[in-house]
Amino acid sequence: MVDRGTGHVVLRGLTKRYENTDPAAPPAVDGLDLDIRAGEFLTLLGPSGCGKTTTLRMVAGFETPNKGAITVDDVDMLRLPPNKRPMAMVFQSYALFPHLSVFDNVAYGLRIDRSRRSGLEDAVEIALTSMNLTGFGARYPHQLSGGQQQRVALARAMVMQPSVLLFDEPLSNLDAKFREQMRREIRLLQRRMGITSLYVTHDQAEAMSLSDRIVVMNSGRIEQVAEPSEVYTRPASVFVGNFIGRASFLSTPDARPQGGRARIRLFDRDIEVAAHPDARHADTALLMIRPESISVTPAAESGHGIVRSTVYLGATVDYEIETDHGTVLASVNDPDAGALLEEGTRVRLAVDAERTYLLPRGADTSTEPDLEAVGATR
Amino acid sequence: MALLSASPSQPTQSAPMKTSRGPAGGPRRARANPSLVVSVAVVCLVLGLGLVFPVLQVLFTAMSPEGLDAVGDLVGSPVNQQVVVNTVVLGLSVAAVGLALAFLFAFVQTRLDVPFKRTLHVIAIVPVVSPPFALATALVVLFGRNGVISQGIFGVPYDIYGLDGLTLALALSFFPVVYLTLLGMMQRLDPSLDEAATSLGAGRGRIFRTVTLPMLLPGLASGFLLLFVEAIADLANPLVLGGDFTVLSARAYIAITGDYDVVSGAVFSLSLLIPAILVFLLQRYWVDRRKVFSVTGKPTGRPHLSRSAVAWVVYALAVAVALLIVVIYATIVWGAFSAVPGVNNAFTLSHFEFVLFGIGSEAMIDTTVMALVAAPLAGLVGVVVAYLVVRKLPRTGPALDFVAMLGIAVPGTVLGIGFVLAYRAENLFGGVTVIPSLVGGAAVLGGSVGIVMVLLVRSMPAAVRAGVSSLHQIHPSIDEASASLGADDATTFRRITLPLIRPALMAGLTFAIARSMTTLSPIVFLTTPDTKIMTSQILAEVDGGRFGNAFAYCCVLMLIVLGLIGLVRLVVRDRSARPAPTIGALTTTAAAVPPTETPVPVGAVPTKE
Repeated sequence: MVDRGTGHVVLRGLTKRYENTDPAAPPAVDGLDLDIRAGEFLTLLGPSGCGKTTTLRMVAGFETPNKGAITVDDVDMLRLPPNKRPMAMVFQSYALFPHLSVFDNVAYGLRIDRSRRSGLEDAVEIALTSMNLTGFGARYPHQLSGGQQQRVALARAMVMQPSVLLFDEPLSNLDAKFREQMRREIRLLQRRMGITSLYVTHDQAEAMSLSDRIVVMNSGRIEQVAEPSEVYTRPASVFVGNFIGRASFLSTPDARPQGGRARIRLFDRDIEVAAHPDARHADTALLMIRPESISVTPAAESGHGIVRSTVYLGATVDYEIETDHGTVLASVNDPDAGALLEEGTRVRLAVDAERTYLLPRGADTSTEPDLEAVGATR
Repeated sequence: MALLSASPSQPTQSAPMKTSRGPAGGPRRARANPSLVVSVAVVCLVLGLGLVFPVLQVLFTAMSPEGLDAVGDLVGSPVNQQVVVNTVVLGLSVAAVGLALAFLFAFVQTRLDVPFKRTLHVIAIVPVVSPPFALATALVVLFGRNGVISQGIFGVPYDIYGLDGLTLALALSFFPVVYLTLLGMMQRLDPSLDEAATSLGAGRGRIFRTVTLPMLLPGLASGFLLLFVEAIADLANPLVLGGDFTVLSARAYIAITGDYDVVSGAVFSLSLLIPAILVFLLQRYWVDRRKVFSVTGKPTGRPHLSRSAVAWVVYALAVAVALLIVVIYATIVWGAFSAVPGVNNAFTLSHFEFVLFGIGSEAMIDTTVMALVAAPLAGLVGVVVAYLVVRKLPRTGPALDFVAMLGIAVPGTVLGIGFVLAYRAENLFGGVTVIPSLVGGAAVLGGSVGIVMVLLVRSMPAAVRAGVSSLHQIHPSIDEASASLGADDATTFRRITLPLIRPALMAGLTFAIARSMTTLSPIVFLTTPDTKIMTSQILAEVDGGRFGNAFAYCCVLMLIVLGLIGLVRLVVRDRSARPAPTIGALTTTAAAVPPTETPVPVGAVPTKE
């Protein structure tokens, strides 16, 4: 950690093709351009194999790109080996040194940098305290719980005060409950220290809650870079809309997109919705509806659709409804457990026009992940 | 050591546009890094001079015109044909008997509910630390023409010399290693597989036949191969117990030391090398690929332990063998204190006097010093080889591993004769002495350099195996974490890798000491009047019929080995709470057998997958 800059990271045309892979297949990372602002918390999000971890490892120096450039505060990183880069990484496996005590783990990097050996004990103690690990210094990694080990890993990286912090799915080995708590702690700590952070995850909740901006990746390319709310409400593609949160995609042949808006007749109503700039033709566009922005009421006679499945989750109930436009997923909050709609019930539907979005169909809808892809129609 | 020297970190290529550099996907790129280059060079030098060059010399000599004549003699003469047949028969019978013994003991340990299992275990691994000749000589005393048991108790003039005695001695000597491998495999068999088979309606016998045996097959096959190779390569036992039953190794030894015919020696030993290498290849590329891994999470439940009538019969068999081992070792100790073991049983200390204060003391010191020089080198070079193979050389690593493992696959006789051929004369290059004479009367330092080289090459494979398997258990992200915190390769190796693989290093070191102290076949060709080695001294005593002296030597040798092992453990004591290397880890690395993985992975503790 030479002199600590502000941590402005720039990736330009970053490309990585692993050897021994099919030359016809797309590269693992394909011409990535990205600016990470100083002090920003940026998350790389995507399904497995989308190139997010490869990107992180290239920034860290554990992989060498075939093409492209990486700079931090205008310093070329590709000329530096991993140990000379002003970064510290937190690993999925924590990668604590099992033969060193907690104290020695945290002190490890400081001891290597001669200029930082003075005041080492204080620095380590402060780092341990900030991670609620006071008094754990003499223990060994195997004497700690998973959450404590993860805190040590964090303290070990933080104590280096790097220009950039790198996180490789650090919470994926933790229990669900603990994960949320750690999420908050990481966010608080990062805000307080203002260290530029690059975070890789496939967990959208993690990405939404931690990030200043999210980079959604697919097949080695960037699908969208935006703030969490924009990624959710105005996804750049069907893939993003599908990957982040749940959504139904309806074909609406009568849509009239024009100038970022579109008039659509849907469920017996004329609505005006926001439209993606590329969604210019009705036959190549899909209407994205989030399950929470559609309301369901039982219909006596006609109705807009028929309930095909009912899944009661306590806080919500999910209905899968077959309509003329395709299958729609609707999620009703705080449902009356005694009055759930049975399968086969005819229902009337109403969508919140402000919360729907017209998207271009795009070429790669076939590669969408089936993780949360409920109700996507073709 | 090369990797320990601090190295300035090299800036990588400045042009980021260059395509295709470094092995992709490998844990780390191998760049032109000085410590890497130096360590690769050192390793290549050690293996090249200590192994490849001498073995090639054997090949070239056998292929020379005189060598081809000798080959014709070997193929044509009925006597020599008989020698080849004898060798194969001996290999097969030792493999069969040894495998049966190993399986018997492993079965008793894992499947029977019987008393004194721990004692049986300890007795079964005692032969690991015994010097050559100890067993054979004791068997002669007990069952020879004037045997204490055969003649003395039963009054039968039994003649143990020949195939039967050899088989017994060799099987008892080499079965412990196979036993430990099988034991490890059988302990790791998931009992829920048995339970699954039971719930599907299979009976005990059927389960054993259809589930247990197939899973053990690779272990049994590799045990058989190992025993076969050890048996045909062994020199000590055929010299003592062979009688008229001549095998190739003894024939090669006699050709060189008796007839001074190095060429025939080379040809005989080459005919040992070929099957040994074949078996090594078979083991490496066929048996190892057929390993059945049943590890699906934590093994649950406990295996059913049998107490049936059949179980007691099996147990009785194992106890009988254990008793035989105890009697043999008691004979060694008792014989060391007897005037003429088996004939005149008067108590005497003269044998120990001879060993400790007479001619023997010189051999004792020479042997110990050379083992103490060779063993740490073997441990360190072995671990460096393992590090290079696993972490640094993703492409050339397997080839390096292969060559390093040849050190154990090549029969000792071949290596010894190779050294004689390669280093008896000085090696000149352009009129300049590149390598001075290392073997024979004019050798530097009385031939000790050559001996240490042989010991190094022979002991290193165990350290390599131990190192490779323990490195495989260290998650690569541990290394990356160190780099990410600012450590260069040399620092990471010194501060992270070495401490983490210390148990493996320890196991390698302990084994190297035992091996260096007790090895005979390559050394016997290399000793000079200036360097006396205990094992070849024992040979001389046995040859001269002075069994008492031989037994005293054996006792002292075993005590030194055990003492050194204890000392190493004491000095390099494990401070943290990690599992210490078990005797299993120590001895399963003993040969070309893949070591049993220690069940506790080092590093990357919390991965849930």
